[in-house]
Amino acid sequence: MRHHHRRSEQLYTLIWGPITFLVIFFVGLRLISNVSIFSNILPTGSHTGYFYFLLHALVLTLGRLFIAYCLAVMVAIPLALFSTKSHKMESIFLPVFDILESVPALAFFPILIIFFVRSNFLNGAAILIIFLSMLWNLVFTLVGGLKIIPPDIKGVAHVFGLERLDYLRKVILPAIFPQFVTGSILAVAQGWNIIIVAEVLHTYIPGGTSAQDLLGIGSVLVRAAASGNNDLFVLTLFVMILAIVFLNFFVWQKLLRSAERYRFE
Amino acid sequence: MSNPIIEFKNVSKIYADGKDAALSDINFTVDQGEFACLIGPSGGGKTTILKIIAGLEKATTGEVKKPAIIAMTFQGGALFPWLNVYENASFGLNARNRLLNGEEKYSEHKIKTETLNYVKMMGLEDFINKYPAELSGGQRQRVGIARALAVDPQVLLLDEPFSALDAKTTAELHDDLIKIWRTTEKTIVIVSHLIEEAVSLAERVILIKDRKVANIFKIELPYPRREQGLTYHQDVMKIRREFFK
Repeated sequence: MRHHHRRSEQLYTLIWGPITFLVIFFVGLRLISNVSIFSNILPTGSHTGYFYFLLHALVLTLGRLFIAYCLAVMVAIPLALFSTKSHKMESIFLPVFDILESVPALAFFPILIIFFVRSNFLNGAAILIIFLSMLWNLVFTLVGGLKIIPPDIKGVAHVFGLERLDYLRKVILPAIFPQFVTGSILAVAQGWNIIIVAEVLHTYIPGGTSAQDLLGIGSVLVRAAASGNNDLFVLTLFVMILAIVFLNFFVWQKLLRSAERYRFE
Repeated sequence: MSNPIIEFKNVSKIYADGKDAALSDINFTVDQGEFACLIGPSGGGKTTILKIIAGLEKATTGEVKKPAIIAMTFQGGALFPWLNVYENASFGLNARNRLLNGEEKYSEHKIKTETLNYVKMMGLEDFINKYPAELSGGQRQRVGIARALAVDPQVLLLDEPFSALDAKTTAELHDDLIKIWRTTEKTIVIVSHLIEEAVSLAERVILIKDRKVANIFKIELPYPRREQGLTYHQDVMKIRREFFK
């Protein structure tokens, strides 16, 4: 049964993955070949130039997402470990996390952004807001993972005298790997959700101008919409979807499959 | 002449919530090389005693004498699902090796040889690259025993190792355990809630009831015991009467 399920999952990835990828790629290519649609915001020049413009925007967006994700992982793991260290810690920290999670990441933004504008580090502001939107998804899924590690598994580590670092490296981190993957998928999805806000910064800066926006898929999407350039809007959306589908098939699906081995029965 | 390797003197255990005592004034010894079985109804304190011996719990009061190197197997094997049979079996030995210094340390070759020796002893040589999800309950329990034996413990603790297994697999593992005990001459302490299992395996059966040692029975039947007919059943009945009293 399980074997059959895995097989149909593989078939789905093998057939529908490339088909979706190719459909999106060719529709995108067709749109990107239409020079006129870029006239008001994109550099003039060859088709390749337009292609590289959107590719550049995508790389910058992915870069911001990646840095914010790495920071979220670096903060979420210690936070989850610390808060589940004992029942007392749980009773103190988990309600605090609940409250912090329910405060929208954007609520902090108008205040936080002033610091980044003053230090002329606008990318920092974007990364921070993406990081805040990602963090709690990771923390709560990791906390869930830590709480379902069977006590006997922890007992094995204790009986054989595993040192603290080895215990973390060889028992705890592998044990929460499935939840880490699930949390990462949710966190990165949250990151994509907030990318427009994160890159169109001027709306949060008092007296800000569009010159303060960051080049990225999110900001291109907003500018295309604002200028009424529907073709560009659709094209950018396609590039964004293409990137998300690519990440899903070639990163998350692979990680989800390998995470199956780490699950306790 | 007795040579106790484990000794409980007036041991009590009260958990942090302080409501009920998990153990109350426990006294018993287990001799070097002995096969002992802790038996009793659920919630009586058997597993707590085993956890105190293993160092997973601390006694609230009283004195516990135990050796330095103890290994334990858990219900269901408690294997790491992301490690294969060999990696699981060598887990304890690798962990112990990291605590050793300089010349005391085992070489990679020694770790491999020792692990494979116990993997073979447990009849798992054809499953070395399999993962726990691909093994039967009995095979998982065998991996857990191989992992425990690989560290060459002075005492081997088994917490209800056969509770989730079918009768045939349990009988096979009983035979294997007796063989291992005789070959390695290890001290073995097993927790069980089955009187027949205790009488089949142990030299002494320690009955734990209401968080106290209710009685200790010496079983002097030769192995294999299930074939001893009437005398086997007499010993079972003797414990049963006390168990249900």
